[in-house]
Amino acid sequence: MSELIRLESIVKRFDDTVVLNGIDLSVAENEFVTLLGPSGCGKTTTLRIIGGFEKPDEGRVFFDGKDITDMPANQRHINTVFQNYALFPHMNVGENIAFSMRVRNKPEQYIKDKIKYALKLVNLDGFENRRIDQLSGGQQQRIAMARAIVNEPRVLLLDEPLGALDLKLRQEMQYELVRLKKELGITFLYITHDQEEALTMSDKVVVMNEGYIQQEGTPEQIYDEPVNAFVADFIGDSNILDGQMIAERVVRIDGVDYPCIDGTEQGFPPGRPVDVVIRPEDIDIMPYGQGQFNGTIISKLFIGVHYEMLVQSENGEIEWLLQNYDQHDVGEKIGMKVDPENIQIMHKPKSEAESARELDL
Amino acid sequence: MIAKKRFATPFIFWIIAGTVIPLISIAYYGFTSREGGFTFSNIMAMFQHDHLQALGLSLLLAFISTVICLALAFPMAMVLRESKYGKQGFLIFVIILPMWMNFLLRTMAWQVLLERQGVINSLFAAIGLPRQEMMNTPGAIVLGMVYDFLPFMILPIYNTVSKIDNHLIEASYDLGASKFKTYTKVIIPLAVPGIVSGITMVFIPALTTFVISNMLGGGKINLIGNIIEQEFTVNSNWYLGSGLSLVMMVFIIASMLLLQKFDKTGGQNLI
Repeated sequence: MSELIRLESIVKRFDDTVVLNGIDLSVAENEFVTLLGPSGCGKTTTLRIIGGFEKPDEGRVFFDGKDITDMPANQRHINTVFQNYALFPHMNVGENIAFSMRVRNKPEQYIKDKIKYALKLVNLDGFENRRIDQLSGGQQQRIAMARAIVNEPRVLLLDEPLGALDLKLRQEMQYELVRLKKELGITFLYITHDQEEALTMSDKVVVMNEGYIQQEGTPEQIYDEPVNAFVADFIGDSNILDGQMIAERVVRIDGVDYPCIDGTEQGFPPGRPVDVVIRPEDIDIMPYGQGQFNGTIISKLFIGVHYEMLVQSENGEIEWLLQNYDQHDVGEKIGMKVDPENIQIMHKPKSEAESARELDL
Repeated sequence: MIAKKRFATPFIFWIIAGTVIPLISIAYYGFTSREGGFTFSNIMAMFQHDHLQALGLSLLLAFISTVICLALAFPMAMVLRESKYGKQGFLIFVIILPMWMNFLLRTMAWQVLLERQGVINSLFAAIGLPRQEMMNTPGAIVLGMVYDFLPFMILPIYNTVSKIDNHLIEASYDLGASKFKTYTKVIIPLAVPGIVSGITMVFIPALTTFVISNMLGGGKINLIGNIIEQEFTVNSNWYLGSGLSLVMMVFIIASMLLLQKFDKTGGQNLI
């Protein structure tokens, strides 16, 4: 897959706040890339810079090998589906979809055919003459998609397009978006703060926080091997624990030693303090006394498919989050076990002083 | 609901005393002859040559003033929209500031500026230019109208353009529209409600004014407002004055209906 968009050390400041702190990103042709992060992490600003609505203070934007940093939005082969859809309220559905073709003076017959094609693609045949305020949120979202794709862009930027929809519709639209992307065969750059959306749809997920890219990878990589506590915490539920390597491939958490698969080769020599992530579904429940550690269940919630339990460990202060298909009662004493490959060892985030020292070197 | 209606009672009295009764009495005088009988002659008097001429000139000057106001106000409203929030408040304050001064005083100030011995002519004389006859010309009246009514054009237009979602403008650029097409296809159509109320608030007072034409036209230029005023004050002919007023009302209602046609977004109708 050839590279379509490349960001090179993008820096963006609003007044004195640094919003983007040297973003490097590469998006390949026909890829579904999701920028994921909490609000204020800089994901929308990144998208706006690619769309041409903001100019970066430093760094360059490349599109298909050409530098487009200074190219105005209306000349880029990029279209955007805005968060609030931004449909023109004074035009009907057909006129909205026709907008990009009319400003390019395309022939009326061509426009008519294209509107039909686009409406069919988003499953809204025959909606040409509806007024925008007659549409539901989900329909408006589809029209915004239709309007953005008739222009045949090579990249579609989607700024939290499902954010305003209810849960059921949101899940339907996720399938719909993946289908659309396959049919159109174009690149999608998607923005969301919803980790589930990011994991289900994307080829590549880019986790952002505070103007930095935290981690980049396939959904599986991001979920299974988070590089730091922020990513682990943001993607799915997890137990994030303080630990220390006490021997080669052995980590001590809460007074108990667990074998794990990371050692000196991965940068975790004995003696080093580390962060440890254990996913709640990876903790196996055993009869009391037969596991690696014991605890008492202090709360239980039924979450549809599974039960979610909080377990107070016998060794110390830690409350473990567990997910299990079997039911156990509050107050029950249980044993627990974690397989070595399910223990994810991560570097402790550096304190500011430490990062500064590293920069000086 | 019933309790709320009770609070509207004072307003209903106000409407009756301030609008309904005067309208009925103007209609009564308008269709009554000096001798007391029913007549259409007060209405038909509009078609006398000098009345028609005054009406034509009024329509022309009001139209020109409205166009000038619109041409000045729209860019101003856009500037206000784009400016930062703190600055916005200050700019609006500056625009409204002249309205704090008495309307007559403001118009009189232009007399002082435009007179043959006035400020502008003194400046001309000082740099060796010939003195200009600026007072008592249609141009002076248009200037006065524009000066007095411009805020009434800026504020409603600013009010609508400031509410246009910035994403709509970005969407227009995103879809490939140039700046010009973004204005003609998105911004201006969305500003129509403001433009319509701005035009109404400038055109109607400009059409019926007699103060501006009195003060800057020196009584030499008669607008229809002056003629109606003179019928009431100088000639004490309330019957003819009312008849002409009724015809003016028809013109005003007609122009408002015409304007509403452009306001497709509808919602708040003016009539």
